[in-house]
Amino acid sequence: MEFKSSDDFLKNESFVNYCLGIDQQDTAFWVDYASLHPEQLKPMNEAADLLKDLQLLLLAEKLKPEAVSSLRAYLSPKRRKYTIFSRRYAAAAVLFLLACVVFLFYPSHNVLNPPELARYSTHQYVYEAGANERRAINLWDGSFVILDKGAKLVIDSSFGQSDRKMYLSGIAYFKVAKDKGHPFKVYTGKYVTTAVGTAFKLQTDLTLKKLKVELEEGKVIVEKKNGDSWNLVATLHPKESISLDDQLNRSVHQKFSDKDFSRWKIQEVIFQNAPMKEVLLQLEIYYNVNITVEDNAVMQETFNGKFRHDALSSVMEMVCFSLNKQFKFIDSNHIIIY
Amino acid sequence: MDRSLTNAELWRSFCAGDEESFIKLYEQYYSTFFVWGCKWLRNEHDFVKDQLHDFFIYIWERRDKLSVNINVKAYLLTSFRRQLFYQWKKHQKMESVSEFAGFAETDESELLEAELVTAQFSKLERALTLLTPAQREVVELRFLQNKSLQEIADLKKTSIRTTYNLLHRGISRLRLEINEKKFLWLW
Repeated sequence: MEFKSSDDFLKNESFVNYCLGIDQQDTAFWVDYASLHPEQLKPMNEAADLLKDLQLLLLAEKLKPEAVSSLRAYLSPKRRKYTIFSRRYAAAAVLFLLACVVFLFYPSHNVLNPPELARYSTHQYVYEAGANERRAINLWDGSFVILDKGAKLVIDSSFGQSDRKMYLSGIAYFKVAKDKGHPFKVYTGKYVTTAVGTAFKLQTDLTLKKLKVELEEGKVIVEKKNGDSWNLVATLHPKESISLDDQLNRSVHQKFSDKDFSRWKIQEVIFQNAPMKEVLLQLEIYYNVNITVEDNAVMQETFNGKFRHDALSSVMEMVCFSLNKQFKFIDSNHIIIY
Repeated sequence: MDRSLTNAELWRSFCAGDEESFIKLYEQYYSTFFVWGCKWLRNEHDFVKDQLHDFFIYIWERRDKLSVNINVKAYLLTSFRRQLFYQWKKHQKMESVSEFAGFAETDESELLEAELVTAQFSKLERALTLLTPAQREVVELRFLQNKSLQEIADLKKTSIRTTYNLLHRGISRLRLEINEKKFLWLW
């Protein structure tokens, strides 16, 4: 083959592979070629430069829409409280943790602001629970999260674009708004857990390099990072749990106890000037019940209260006392406030 | 030049606090600065991306302190380059660095360089918009996602010959739009 100009190089597939660094054989060939044909160095470099510029420009154009929207978000007066994190710091922060995640799917009638789900995030939002207190968060796609003491959740800036990505450290509880088009992904250390229409709990211990996943309903996929790619580690069925350690795939499937799962959820429930609508929604999540209200006027009220391992009836007593209302169980899973 | 007139106007209304003008400036310079920064730092894409965002926020927050009558391109590019350099050194913890000097005056050579940089990039940017959607897609698959011709052909369920033709018509089109001699520049 004869090469007269940089164009000829650009038209050669093997040369382009070499520039892109995607084929070792091609790379070896062209390094060799360059040393044998020093007179060709100039057009070769020209072609390589053109490719490089083109590549970077294509990348820039890809990044631009998101960058512009994140600048707009910064300018917006209604902007949320957030911390701008450089990605690399966030990634590092995720490395030391003990994490436990619970996923549950919202019954669709419970979604506060239904569809239009997976709205775009434009920054990494960082949420942290206090050292001594849990924290409840409503994500803007309609999902609900409880961060356990000391836990930290970083919502990726790409949240809502093709998926819903976040990084967790510590213990958290997720009730995921249904949105099949945007998989809900939680990254913990080397693992990523993806909800596929699901309810599950996930526990990692990074000092021991262990991961435990408990699935309540639906289906969940666990993948592990292997170099640049992700390997499927497990899919789980309801009421199954799996324990993994760092030494690849020594996994243990077992059944887990519903009771422990529920106990974990109600360890501590805190409301501070919380709107009644949110209070009832959270209680539904914690205790797996439906709560119906006869008089919608109570939804205007707010509520303060702290509960630790309390039975649902005593929590309901407190809530109804503050509302000056009564409640009764219609059946074991259904409460009415009247 | 019409374009720089618009730039000067954008800059003035940005200094007066107009958000849309600010966004327009950002849109206009984003690709150029990104490519330039990546080349300069040899492919630290994420770092450059973050710095670009931070830099524009930085100038937004200081908009009332900026001079109104400046050469916008040269001013922005020089300032961005300084910020990038400063942050990069800090990031690398190479050495203790003196305080960031803020916006210094731009000198003649920097002005010239800024002209060159932006003129070249706007050519390439414009050239890219002239590709047909299919050409553009193949160009992206090949050069951005590093796919082989065979992979692209498989992906698009077409022959390798068609893929090859699309790609090369795309490249020739880009070449045609960009004066080759001028296209190659070094920093």
